Amino acid sequence: MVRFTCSYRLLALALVVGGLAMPWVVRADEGIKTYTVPKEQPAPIQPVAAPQSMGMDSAMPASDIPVSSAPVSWTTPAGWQELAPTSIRLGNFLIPGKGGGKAEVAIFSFPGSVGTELDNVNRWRNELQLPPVDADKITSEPVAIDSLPGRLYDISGASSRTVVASLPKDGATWFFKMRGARDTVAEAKPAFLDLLRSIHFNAAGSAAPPAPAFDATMPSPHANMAAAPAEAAGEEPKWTLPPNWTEKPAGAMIFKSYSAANGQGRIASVNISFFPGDVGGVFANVNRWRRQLGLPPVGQDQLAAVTQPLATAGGRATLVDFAGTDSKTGQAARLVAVMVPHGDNTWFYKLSGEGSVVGDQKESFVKFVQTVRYP
Amino acid sequence: MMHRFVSIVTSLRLTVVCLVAALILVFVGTLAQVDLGLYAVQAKFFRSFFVYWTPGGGRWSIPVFPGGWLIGLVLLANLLAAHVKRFRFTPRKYGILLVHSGLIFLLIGQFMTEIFQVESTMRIEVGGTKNYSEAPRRAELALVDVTDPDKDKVVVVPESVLAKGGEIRAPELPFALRVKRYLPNSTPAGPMTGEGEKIRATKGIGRQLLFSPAPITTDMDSEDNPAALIQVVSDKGPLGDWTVSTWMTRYPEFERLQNSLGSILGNTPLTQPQSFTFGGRTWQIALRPLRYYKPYAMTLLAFHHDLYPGTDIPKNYSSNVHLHDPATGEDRDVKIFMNSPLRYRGETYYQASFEPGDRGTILQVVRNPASVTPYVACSLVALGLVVQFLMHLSGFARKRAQSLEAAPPQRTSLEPVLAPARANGKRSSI
Repeated sequence: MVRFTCSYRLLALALVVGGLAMPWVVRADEGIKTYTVPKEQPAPIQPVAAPQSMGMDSAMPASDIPVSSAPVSWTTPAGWQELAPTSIRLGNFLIPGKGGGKAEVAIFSFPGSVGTELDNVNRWRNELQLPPVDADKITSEPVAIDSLPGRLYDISGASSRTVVASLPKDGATWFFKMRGARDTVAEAKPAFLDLLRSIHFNAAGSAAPPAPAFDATMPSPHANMAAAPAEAAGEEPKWTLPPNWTEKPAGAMIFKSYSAANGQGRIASVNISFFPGDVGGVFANVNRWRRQLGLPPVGQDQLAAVTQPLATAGGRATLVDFAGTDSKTGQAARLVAVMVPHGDNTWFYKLSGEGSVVGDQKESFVKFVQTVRYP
Repeated sequence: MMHRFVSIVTSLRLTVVCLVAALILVFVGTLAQVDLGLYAVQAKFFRSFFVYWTPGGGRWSIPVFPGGWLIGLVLLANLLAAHVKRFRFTPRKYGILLVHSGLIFLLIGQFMTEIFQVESTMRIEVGGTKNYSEAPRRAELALVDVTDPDKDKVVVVPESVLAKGGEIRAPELPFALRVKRYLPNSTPAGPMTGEGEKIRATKGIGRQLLFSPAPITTDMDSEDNPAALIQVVSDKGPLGDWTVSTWMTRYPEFERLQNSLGSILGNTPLTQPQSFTFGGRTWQIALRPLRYYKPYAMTLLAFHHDLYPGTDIPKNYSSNVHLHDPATGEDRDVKIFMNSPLRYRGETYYQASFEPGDRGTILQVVRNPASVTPYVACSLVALGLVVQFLMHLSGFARKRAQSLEAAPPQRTSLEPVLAPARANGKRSSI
């Protein structure tokens, strides 16, 4: 047993005092500081081109040079246009087709399993405006990618087609995805299979790739902020506003916002936004809107009862019409909302306000949504 | 009392207490990695003098257990004191003394490295110039007065101050900063990420780009991206609320976010600093990775990524940089490549990584004032071993010579070797 003599007490006291003082001693350099520095010179804007490669034969086509950052390499099929890689897409290709059709191919990976096979297939089907299928209806075939066993999915929509190979490897899932016009994809499929055969994982590729935050073609790990390629490029949908709709400043994350006035000058609000992916799906969004109106959530089995299918120029959409009490204002309110999955994105159209004004505007609103032409 | 103190410091009991404390620390620290992740545990349990506990999210921290540094220091003091007290110096122990000195020097050097080493990265795009490196996993709020055409005045507030919230005043700032929200880790928010409260600004990009809280990262390969809602307050009242986050300043997050958001932000570059004007001067506000400014600048002339001919196997990564130091007149080109770092002004620049498409290079910058200690320590240990060996060898040779002089030639070839041992009544050893 240690006897707490005077010396031990002194030692203990010194340790306690030191311990209490240490945070201030250690963090003494963590105060507010001021510097005067020369102005930062921004780097000249460079074209994002094929990687430089000293020591390579300059006559070698750029497409044969592996992307420097990629832990995977490939041989680009003839006739494909290799685009600059992005921080997400390790491989990025454009395939020009006959008659103006085109397709794009992306190579990317995500940590983990990225949802179930059913989730993935139904997401790809959703992109093609196809209804979801059950797990026993999924069709795929085995495909070898760098001698590793992957699966190949081929899904055709009305005008578009998607061919995807997926490969779980070292705790990550790799996707090789071609999507575009039906004819172009059909024509390019043999070359796509050639691309798969040429895939080679480099030594660095054996490690799980870093977790990309977002991707245009995948559900974002953060649920809803993935890329929106067409819209990001500045191509916006075209629409004709109903009479008595006037644009107003859009709020956070809102693409466009309008005031819709009825004959008595009473105003409802129309907000339009779009987000990549399915943004949680119909079920989650329906219950989100119900929460906003103080309504109890519905179960999956009740979803059909509270939603209506709606045919739009952009594809099959889902309409809801709820009346309740605005959870923010405590006033009676009505909300008509339409979710339009289109391409990689889901568009949200929301008409909300007093019940009578929303009722007056609903027909115009629905027609408006149905006639929006997407890029 | 002094005698008693010395006996405590040199006691074996203290050694055992330290070893047991280290055992407990390692055990608890290992378990804590589940919730805190490796880096937070290293900082809290091992790279610290004390393990602190903050009761109920308060402002006071109480030391509850010795940290790794304290245990190591006490153990070192204990061993040194015990050595001094019990070790009897004789010339025959020169070698052992040197070996022990080397080991102690190694321990001290490692301790100095732990405390004083600073690691950061310098990311330069081809053609770009940098005069600072950035710390991983640490952030700072920067207010930059960009009014002057030649120089910027930078006022930085460390993340630890932001985390405390409240109002921040600095003599160099003509306004106050009010931390309305601080998120240690955040995620860009949309309509479906409404689980946590989002932060929304009244000025700048934060009017459109929202952030919601995210769990602290425990993954070794990920970093937290803090966000904060900062209100700038003048004497006449608030100027506005700005959202700041490393999502907008840390590579490659800002690139991913920029790619992702597209027209939602009206194609405003995320990297375009948010700014405001006050008192006729223009200020920029940003939460950015903590910067270490240098008195010199480096320009990336070219980045090369070589492959073995005919293969995809990387052969070499190299950066051609131009070093310009107005203070010393240094103005030269340097090639930094694998295993050939640049050492300049106490810092070492290693080729660490590069940007996709070979658009730029990422250099790891290490400042370690104790970097020479391992070399000195190893030299001392080697010298001690040699000295000890030579002393034994000379003693052996001397005894052998004596035995050869004293005795006639022996019958067996082993006899000359065994004879000195017999003479000592024990085995000869080195």
